[in-house]
Amino acid sequence: MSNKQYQFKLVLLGESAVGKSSLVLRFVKDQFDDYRESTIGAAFLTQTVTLEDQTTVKFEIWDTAGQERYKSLAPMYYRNANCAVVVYDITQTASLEKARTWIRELQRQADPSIVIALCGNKLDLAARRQVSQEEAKKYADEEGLMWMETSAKTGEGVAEVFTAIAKKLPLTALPSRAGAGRTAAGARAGVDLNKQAANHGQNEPCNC
Amino acid sequence: MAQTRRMTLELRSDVPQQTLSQPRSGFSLTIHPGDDLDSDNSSLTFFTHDVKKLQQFNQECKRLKEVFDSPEKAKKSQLTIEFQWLAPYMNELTSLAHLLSDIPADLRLVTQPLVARLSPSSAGFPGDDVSDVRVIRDHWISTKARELARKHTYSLRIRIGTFNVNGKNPSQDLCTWIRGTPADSLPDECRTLDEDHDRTIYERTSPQLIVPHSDQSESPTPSFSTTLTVNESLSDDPEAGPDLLVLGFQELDLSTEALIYSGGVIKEEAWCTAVVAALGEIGPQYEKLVSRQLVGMLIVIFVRKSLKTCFTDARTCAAGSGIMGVMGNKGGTAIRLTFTPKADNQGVRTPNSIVLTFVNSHLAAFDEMVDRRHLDYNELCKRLMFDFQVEQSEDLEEVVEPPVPWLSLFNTDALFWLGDLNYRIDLADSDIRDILASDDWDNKFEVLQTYDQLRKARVTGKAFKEFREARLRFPPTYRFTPGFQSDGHQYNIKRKPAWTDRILSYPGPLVIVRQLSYMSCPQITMSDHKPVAADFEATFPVWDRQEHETIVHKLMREARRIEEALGRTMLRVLTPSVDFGKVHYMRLSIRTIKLQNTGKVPTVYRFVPVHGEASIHPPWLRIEPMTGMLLPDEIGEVTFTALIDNSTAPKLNTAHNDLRSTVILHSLLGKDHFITISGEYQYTCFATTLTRLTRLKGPVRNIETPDDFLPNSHSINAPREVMRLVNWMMAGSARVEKLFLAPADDVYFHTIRECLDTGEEFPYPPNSEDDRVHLAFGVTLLRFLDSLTTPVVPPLLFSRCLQPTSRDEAFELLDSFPPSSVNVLISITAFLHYICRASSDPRTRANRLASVFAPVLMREERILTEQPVSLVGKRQFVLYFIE
Repeated sequence: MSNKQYQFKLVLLGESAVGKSSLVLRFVKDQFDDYRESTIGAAFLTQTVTLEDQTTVKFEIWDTAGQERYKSLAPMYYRNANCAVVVYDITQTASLEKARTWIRELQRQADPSIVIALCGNKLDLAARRQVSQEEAKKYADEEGLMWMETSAKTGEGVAEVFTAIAKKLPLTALPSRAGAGRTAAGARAGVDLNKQAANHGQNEPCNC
Repeated sequence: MAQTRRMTLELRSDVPQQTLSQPRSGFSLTIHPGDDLDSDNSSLTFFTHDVKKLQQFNQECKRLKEVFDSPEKAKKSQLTIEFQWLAPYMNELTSLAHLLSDIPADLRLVTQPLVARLSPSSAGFPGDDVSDVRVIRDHWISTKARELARKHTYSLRIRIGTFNVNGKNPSQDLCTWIRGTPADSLPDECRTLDEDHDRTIYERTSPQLIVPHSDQSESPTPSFSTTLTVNESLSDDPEAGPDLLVLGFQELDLSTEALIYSGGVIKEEAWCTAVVAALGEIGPQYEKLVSRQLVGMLIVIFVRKSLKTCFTDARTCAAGSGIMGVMGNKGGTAIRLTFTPKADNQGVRTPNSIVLTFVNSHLAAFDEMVDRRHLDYNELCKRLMFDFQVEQSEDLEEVVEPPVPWLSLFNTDALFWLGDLNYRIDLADSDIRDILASDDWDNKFEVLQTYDQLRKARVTGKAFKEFREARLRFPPTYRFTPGFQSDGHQYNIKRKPAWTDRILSYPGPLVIVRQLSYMSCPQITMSDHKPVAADFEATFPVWDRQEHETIVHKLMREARRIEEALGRTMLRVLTPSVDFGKVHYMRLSIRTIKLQNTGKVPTVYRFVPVHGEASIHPPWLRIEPMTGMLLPDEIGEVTFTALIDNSTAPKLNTAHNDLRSTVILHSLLGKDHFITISGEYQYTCFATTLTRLTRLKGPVRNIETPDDFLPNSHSINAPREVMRLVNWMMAGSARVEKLFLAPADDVYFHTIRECLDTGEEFPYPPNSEDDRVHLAFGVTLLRFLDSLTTPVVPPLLFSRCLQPTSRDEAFELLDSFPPSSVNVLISITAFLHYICRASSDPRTRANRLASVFAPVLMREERILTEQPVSLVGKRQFVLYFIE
């Protein structure tokens, strides 16, 4: 059984309030909050996707702040990223404009091999749609980007975005930078198993 | 595991309510505990999609059972290898071993800020968070355990002396050296002590400035802030003598034989007898505890008899660094002592101990051998090692720490270094003698100290980097003609006078070392050196070891499970922005933010830079603490302090006044939080260039943009700020004899500086009766001149300034000066000339003022690296204009 494991750095970009953090929350924990505070900073999360051939792809996800005032810090998070999800809100035309700006910046400054997905979120609010599918798709095609629409609220399309990216990433070699230094991930397996023992105090025998 | 009498494993596939792309099936493992367990008989179920992990888990369970069945397999070494999941616990054991170790950690490590001990990390690139968590957690535990366990504090009084005896026998009464107190005074903690502050000023601003400063802001900050409850041992009576008397001798025996056969016991006895005699009536209370000699170097420790049993585990070592780099004509001898206070009735049955280490060294001689001295020091740091055999108690589990056969000097709670370090003063011989002999230099020792090689070495980090030394307030101790009764200023003509004999301290985080005195003994004339002595008070917390250990274990349990936070954002920054408002030059502003741990397990944070090469925060900002740990629900505070001084102001004066920036708080194993810093810098006329000031359209505060200048052709003659100060003082300051010679109140200084910056009228009438106001104007002018990014006299012209032999020649030289410099120099010296003429003794006043102004007007830029231009010559140049 081929059981290859890959690790990639993924960064989420996009205007404030388009639902970046919600997308990640849906993907990683399958949850949704109606009222989320605006991200001030950059959250780090991981999630693993298993492809049909049993290959597992672990995403190290950096969910960045969308507010303009933190824009200068974004390069710190997208540098060395293997993939980027640029999110817009289908009910806000301006957010697609902002997404275009991000994409231009990525094309100019990020790693040239970066895989970029353009993602129209808030599909559950399709009734208030301002950005047509055609318009977004056309733009994505021109720029050679992946494009999808999602709803973090209902979960529609969310897993598909990440799976599609995983499939598109070159799985020939383990990316060099991703995961280096983050031994946390490795240690985690050990910790989970211990959780139960830890509750009983170190000097007591464990109950296994 | 011993209780796992019988368990049932139940494995079944499961269909959970999963969504998304996860496999639609999973496996669960349920373990039913045996019937004979005392409590909690409910079964445990593990569920996972990951068959492989489950298999591993199952396998670990089986192995555990095996271990249980055959206990001999449970040897620890095997456990660490075979059971990966034990890793976090083993890591806890290692931490516990360190936290409870009797061997103090290396001072050079533990005195570094915690953030410097963490792995490199920056925005988007966490470092080795797992190991960083451990470092921060262990620090948290050790600090907290000390606080909780501490019953009271104990203070030891230590007198340290160093004396290069030049081969002589003790022929004079050593009383002043052994028991004397400095002639000039009372311990003034702010001044004698905290060198750190002093050092920062020294590094960042001009080293030569000898402006009288107000000492108010310089109070030292102790390393733990809690108040002292009991001051057990310290008797208030200074006559009582120290608890420990540590003496270092050099050149005890200059004979060649001594070098070859290091015997020398007779000399040691003679000196010890002289020491006991010098103790006088308290002599019988002391006895020799331990000594170590290497050729002419001897370190000997006397102890108060009543405390003798408290000092244990005395170890000594010696290393030569003389001829061929190993001979004992130069080198060091050291002693390491463990001090354990007596058990008391305040709940301390088994008190903790502290380790004190003392080094006596004699470093390479001669002026130009300064690098050799640095080398000697660095070699001694490596080669002075204490043989350390741990007595292995039989049932001590050999788990944690590999036995350490050798201990370094730095594995101590406090290190004291004394001896003939042989550092000289980097000034011409004639300069040094002139300054020492003259009465015109108000702070002559401070002036000379600026050029002291040891001081430079500490600042540049070439040697004694981490050590502290009190200010030298006694004359150089070398070189005298033995036997010649002198007034302390009659130095032998063969060598430059120098402070060769020094005493330094390096306390760790556990001990607060206060220096009470630092003095030399001019009355002792038998040697070509003067003896030097210093009194210290070492204060440390006392706790009961058992109780401390219990607390450490308890805290370790509280601090568990940090790793579970992985990927969750439990740290909340309750105030994500810091606004300093208006930020003024040299005025401290402080803001705090609150952080809360909203999770269910402890969380750890640190500040990280934006990228690897960047600094964590702008240079004018301080953040405290830079790392921390919060228990669930705990709220912590982080303090942001803005201070714009001469090192940071020049850049800010020429930049946009918006101080906005973002700092990044990384919660370990979690997210990066952005904290926005904002503030509006208030431009100042300080810390800039004269030329720039002459091209400003008006008061500096009124400028719209930093490059809003008058065209070059329209620049004014001299900065209006200088003219305003001089004009104000011209009106009525001449009568104040102490003008430019005495310190001033900071409040006045800030008011005057603010008026200069804004162009507002001074709120003080020039005919003010209040001398303090006049002194403040004087100090403001000196500080202004000192803050200039290039001194009034261009450094390139310094050597030419030494050439004039008359007033006319000095004036001629002004042709080569930039116009703004000429005008400033002329107006200031004209004013000085004026006030000297008003004085009852114009000559003396002129000399003294020239001594104050010369180092400021002709500030040495690279004092640390280059041989400076003669200070006496500079003074003469300035004097031509004043007289």
